[in-house]
Amino acid sequence: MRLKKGCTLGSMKRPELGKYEKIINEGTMNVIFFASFIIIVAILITGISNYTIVRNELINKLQKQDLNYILKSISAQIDGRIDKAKETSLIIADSPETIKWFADGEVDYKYEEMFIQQIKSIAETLHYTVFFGNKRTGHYWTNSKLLTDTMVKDDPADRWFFDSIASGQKITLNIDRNNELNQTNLWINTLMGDSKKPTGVAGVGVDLQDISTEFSNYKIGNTSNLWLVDSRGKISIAEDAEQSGGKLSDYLPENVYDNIMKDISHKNDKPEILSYTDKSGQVDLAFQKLKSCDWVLVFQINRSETLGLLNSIMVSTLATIAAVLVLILIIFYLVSSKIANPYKRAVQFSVELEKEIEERTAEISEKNLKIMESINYAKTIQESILPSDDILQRVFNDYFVLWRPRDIVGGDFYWLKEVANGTILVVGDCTGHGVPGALMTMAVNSILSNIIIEEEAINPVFIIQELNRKLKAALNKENSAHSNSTDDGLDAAICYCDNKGKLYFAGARINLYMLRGEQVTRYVGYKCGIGYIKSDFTSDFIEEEIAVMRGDRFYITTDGYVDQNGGSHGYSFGKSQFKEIILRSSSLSMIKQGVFFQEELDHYRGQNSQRDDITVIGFEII
Amino acid sequence: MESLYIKESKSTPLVDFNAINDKLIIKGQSYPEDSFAFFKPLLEWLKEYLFGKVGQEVGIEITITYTNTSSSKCIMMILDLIESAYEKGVITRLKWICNEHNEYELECAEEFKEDYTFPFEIVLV
Repeated sequence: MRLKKGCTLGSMKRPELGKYEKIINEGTMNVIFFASFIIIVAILITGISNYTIVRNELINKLQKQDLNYILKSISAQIDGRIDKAKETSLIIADSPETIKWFADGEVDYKYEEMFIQQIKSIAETLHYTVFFGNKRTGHYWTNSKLLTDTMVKDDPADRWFFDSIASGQKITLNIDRNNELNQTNLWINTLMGDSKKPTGVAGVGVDLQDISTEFSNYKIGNTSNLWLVDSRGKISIAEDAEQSGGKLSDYLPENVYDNIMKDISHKNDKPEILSYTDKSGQVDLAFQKLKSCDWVLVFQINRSETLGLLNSIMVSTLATIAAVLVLILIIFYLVSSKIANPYKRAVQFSVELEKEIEERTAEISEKNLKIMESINYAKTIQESILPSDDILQRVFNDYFVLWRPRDIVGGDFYWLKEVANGTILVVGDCTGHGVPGALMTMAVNSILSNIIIEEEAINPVFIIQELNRKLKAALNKENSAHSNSTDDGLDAAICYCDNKGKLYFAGARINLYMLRGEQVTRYVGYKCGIGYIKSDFTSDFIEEEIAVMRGDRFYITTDGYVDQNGGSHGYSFGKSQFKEIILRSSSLSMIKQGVFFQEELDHYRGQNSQRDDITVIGFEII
Repeated sequence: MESLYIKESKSTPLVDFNAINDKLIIKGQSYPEDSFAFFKPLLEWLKEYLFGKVGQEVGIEITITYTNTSSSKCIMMILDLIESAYEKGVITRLKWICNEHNEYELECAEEFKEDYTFPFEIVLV
């Protein structure tokens, strides 16, 4: 026999999980995917809502605050400078000494000296270009080039002078742009003295180029533009020098441009904000007219620029998603593998068990097969000691035999011996069934042969007594030391049929039934079995002598038949019912009666299993 | 002494030996493959129990619906123990309960009764 390895599961080689592996992995992956999906959806919802909120806030802030602020601060700055320049211009233009000197035709050389010193000092202190133009003489004085020119009405360069005087307005503004020097100057042309009869034009020139530098401080991103535009739509100052001197209409859609120009004419100096879409996308635009003049500040910014911050939010959201995803995958893999592990182990365990069971089952089947082979062979041996049909046919006029061991072999047997003047028939039921019962039958069989041959016995009572004695001896029953061990023996019925029509019967717990006509007679066997410790066949154990008549039928059954449970209550078949079926089938031939007995019992038994070995013999002697 | 209780199985009877109220019950069918192995603890228990019950009353109730030959040998051993206890002065009261419709039970009871002298009452139900 192959010894089973006595080992714990731990020391066993882990079997391949095979088909289970896939299930486990699928389960784990499903958990991971599901969890990741939920978390990503959550992050996306948060991200999108954040994005939307921030986006709206940013646009709102840009339009309501930033653009307003930028425009207000720049316009205030420019207004401040222009106002200051205007004040300075008024002061110098309305100086009575200078007016008088101009009116006198600049003849006072002393004053000229003082005048020149004065304008030089103002120019130096306030960083202006100071100029004076005398209507009477046509002389043009500036702080850098004194008496530089004599203005002529036909010279386009001097046109501003005559225009100013002609306008009759105290102050006019004039911008001139010098692209070569990249200079933009604002000129405050102020009429000297009475505006209706001015002595000349004086004022200061302000270099606005530094304002364009200032503009770059307000620039947001790369695509914003800040322009200072005059009332004719010309860009006077731009952060980008190339745009200076250009037309605002070149940079804006027509309707937007018109909108701005219309607003300027209404003298509205509140910031206006509008949005439009051009080929570069959504654009926000704000403009405000200056207080000090008819110029307008225009600030234009692409929405994408404003929302540049959002890109970083978006990027960071996506980065978060990616990071969280990786983290989740790691965590969930760890967690779910921890969760899945007990399951995995359980599956592993069951696979191991299954394998072990398979092995054991194979082992058991193998053993079973061997045992079955062995028992089947035992059956052929047991059958070989039973009398053959030939002998039975020769001895009896008619007969049937039901021999049905509960298992393949059993404790029931029948035995037949032809002796000098007749035949001895023994029907026996040894204790136990199966192999132990069969072993007993073999022992009994050999003792019987021994008794009949050695003792030449034919007397059933004597045979039973001898059998009792010899069996006890064989099974050590005489030895009291063994009295507490098993107590085996047999029940038996013995018939001696002589050639003169007599049947002698003796039974040990087995009866003989005789059917004569419509009458069944029961010859009761002795109350004790053979070979048991307490078996004792005393003087009251006698045999029956029956004078057999033609057609008499005899039946012997072991308790397997009458004790079989069945019917509606599960009771035993019973001896009375046995007698009944003998009567009921009395008209049948012996062989058919045998079949009938079998069918009756099978029917009665129903679903119940056979309880004991069954032997029924029916025979007719004459 | 501890009571002995064995649940009924397909091939063995219910055993309820109650040492507290002195009531011993065997009920069911008995046809185990190894009858002696099943009855051995019962016999040992009874031997010890009955030994200490001299002068006292012990109620015994047996219902056997079917028994194989080896089981009936063992039942006889039990009855032997009761017989000897009875002889020693234990007041045994045996009721052998039979279903009147089951011929087997009564036959069985009567066969057992024949061999004993202690009070052996067959009750048909």
